[in-house]
Amino acid sequence: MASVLAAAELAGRFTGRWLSVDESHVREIPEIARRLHAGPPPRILFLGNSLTRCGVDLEAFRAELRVRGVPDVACEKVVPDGTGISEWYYYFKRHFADANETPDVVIVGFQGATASDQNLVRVEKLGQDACTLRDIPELFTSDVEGFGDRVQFLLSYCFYSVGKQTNMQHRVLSWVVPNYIQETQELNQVVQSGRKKNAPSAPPRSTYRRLERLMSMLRRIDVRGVFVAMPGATDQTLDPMLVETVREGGMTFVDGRRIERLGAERFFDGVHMDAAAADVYSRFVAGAIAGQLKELTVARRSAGGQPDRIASAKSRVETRTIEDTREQRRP
Amino acid sequence: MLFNSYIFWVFFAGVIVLYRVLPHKLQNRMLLAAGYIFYGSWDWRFLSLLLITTVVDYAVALRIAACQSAQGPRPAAKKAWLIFSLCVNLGLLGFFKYYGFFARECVDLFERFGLTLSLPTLRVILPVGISFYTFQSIGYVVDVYRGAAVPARSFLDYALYVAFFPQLVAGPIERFNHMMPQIMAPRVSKPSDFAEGLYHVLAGLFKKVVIADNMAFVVNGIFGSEPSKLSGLDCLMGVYAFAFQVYGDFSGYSSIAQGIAKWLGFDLMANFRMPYFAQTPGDFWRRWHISLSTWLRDYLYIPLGGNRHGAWQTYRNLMLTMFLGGLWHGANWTFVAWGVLHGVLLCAYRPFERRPRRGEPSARPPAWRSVIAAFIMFHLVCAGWLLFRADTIGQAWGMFSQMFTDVRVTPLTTYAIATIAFFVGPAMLFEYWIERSQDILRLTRAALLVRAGAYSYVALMMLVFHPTLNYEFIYFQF
Repeated sequence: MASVLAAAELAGRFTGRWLSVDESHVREIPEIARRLHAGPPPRILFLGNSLTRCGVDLEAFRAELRVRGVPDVACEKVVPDGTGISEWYYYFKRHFADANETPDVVIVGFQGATASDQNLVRVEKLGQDACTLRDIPELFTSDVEGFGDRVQFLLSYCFYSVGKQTNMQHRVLSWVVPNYIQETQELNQVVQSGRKKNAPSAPPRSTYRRLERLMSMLRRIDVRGVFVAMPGATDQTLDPMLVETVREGGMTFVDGRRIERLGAERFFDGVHMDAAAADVYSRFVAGAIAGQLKELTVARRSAGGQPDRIASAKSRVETRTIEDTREQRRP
Repeated sequence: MLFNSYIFWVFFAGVIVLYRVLPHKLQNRMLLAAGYIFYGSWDWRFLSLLLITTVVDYAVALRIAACQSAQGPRPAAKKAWLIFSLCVNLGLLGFFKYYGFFARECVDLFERFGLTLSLPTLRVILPVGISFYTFQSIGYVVDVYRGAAVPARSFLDYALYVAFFPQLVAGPIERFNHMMPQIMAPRVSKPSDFAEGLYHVLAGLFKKVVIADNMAFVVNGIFGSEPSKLSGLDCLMGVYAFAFQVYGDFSGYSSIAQGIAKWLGFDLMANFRMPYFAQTPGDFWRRWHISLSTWLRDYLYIPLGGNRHGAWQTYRNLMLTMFLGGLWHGANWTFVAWGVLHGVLLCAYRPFERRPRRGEPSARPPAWRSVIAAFIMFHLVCAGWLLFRADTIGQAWGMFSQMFTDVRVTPLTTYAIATIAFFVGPAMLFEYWIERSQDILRLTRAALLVRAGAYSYVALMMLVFHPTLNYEFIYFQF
């Protein structure tokens, strides 16, 4: 039995890259960080999950910025599947902040509760991909508090087969079970709506301590943060507390929930944007932050054209709405 | 502490290390403390209930035995003590389990007649495992009353009988005469204990983590949908999935309990014996939750008269026993309906079930007849599971009628079939292999390669396919 488990562990470590797009992407993150850091400033990182992977078209984003007078940006995406605010914090910390390969701007796209503390913490992803042993004191204090979760974290850190259990499970079941992804999503929705129905009439308020920690880290290393509420096939609610938290953190909030030409038919599986929607959304985000990027470029020129990141750029508090963005589009 | 949680295995590691170094008497004290720590980890407030049940029944049993003293039997006093114990035990069980249900039903009933009945609204939390340890304790008192058991002299040893942690919260419901000798005598390790314990633990974890928890997702999705939005085959797949969820969950727990008890040197009774190969309702109840069905037989069915007073009284006794057996499972009309259905099945099959006479070898029916009988019986049991799982009788009826009016094969149908086949198929083949030999421990005696293959399969499946969401054992709510 031990030898079979060891064989599974070795097989996973050597072949995991080919098992899933997500696994391949996660292994590429260090290279993405290096590539972005080596690119021309302003360097822009899109941080999110599969919603951002499908929803952001980097070429469309760059093209829109060029039209708006911001040429030559470097931009990349770090978008591990199924992640939320707790994982994004550690992915960024490990591969960008601690590696001294920080971008100039981080654009975090979120939907629903992914930015709140109530979002499910993916302990196996933290253990296998996002964290190092140095993160344990902070992790065990703030994010992984139960005994079982801590053990799961340590096992995921040590063993590939534990850390990637969810990926392997989904991969095998998608081969074996017809309509696996679609039916699993539909059953998930039924189960989630059942939980909401049975929940107490006044559900607990969302909190945003992890979001505050991420913003605090960004401020510490002088990176501008832009937090974008992403559109969905159905109406997305927005917690005013989240907007206030972003404002108080000195970051930019962009409400992208209702964008023209992004109807429900543009979400190919009811959740993720199709290519046409990604073009529209990416150009919308570009329009929302073009002004800030111009300021960064000007600040760089006034600092003597230093190719390095703009240490003296001052973060501004700004909340943008669809109306502001439309105003910018008019000639 | 769930058996499939890390914290339980850390707890058990501590228990087993201490157990190995302590002498017999201290082993018992340590196991008693472990039982209270285990139970208290669910909710420390309910330790008092466990203690009350233990103290009352310990004292009552001694008083009952004293009524049979050399000065002459005092039957009235004996009966009074028995009734006192039953009132305390069933009173606690009734209050915590059924107060809310009966209060709601009484209020609804009065409202139908235009009357308003005001009963205190209490949010009563159900103590985990109360049905199990209460029945176990009642069984002890009744055995002493009947003269079938000698009352325990040591309170602490008796307390261990009630609070033995492997079977405390979800059975099996152990008989005093089976457990107490094992508590009182020093345990002697046998060379096969580790292997047998490991087999039971791995089998149990596999049934819980791989089968039950993966079926739970399908079940919750299908039963969470409106019946009108499902096809009949979707509903049928939901019922099949639940049949394997509840079996995997409950038999998994019992199996783990058996395994860890074996590692402590105790033999617990087998609670399940390949129930989905049963060919008649009677056969099913000799294979499913055996500790409960035998308890109901010995402490309810037989005292009511059993089958000793003619056909109609037998049917009445069967229906009453199964009605109460259904109610035992929970405070909902769906459980009662489930029990009544099984009562009807037992009564309906009774004229056709042929029991071999003592000494007469039981004739094996032809294979095709066994297959058809098992197939029919499985579906009759599934009809009961539909009632058991549904939130209301209305939902059960909605799903049941869909099965006969809408037989479309939908993507959900194929998804559910493939999921059930993937997770449950190999396990059922394994159970069929055991069924043919009637030897539950057949795998422990199989060739090394066979054992290695089976354990490797189990380990890989548990590694890859345990769901990220841990579902509590279903029978904890009973």
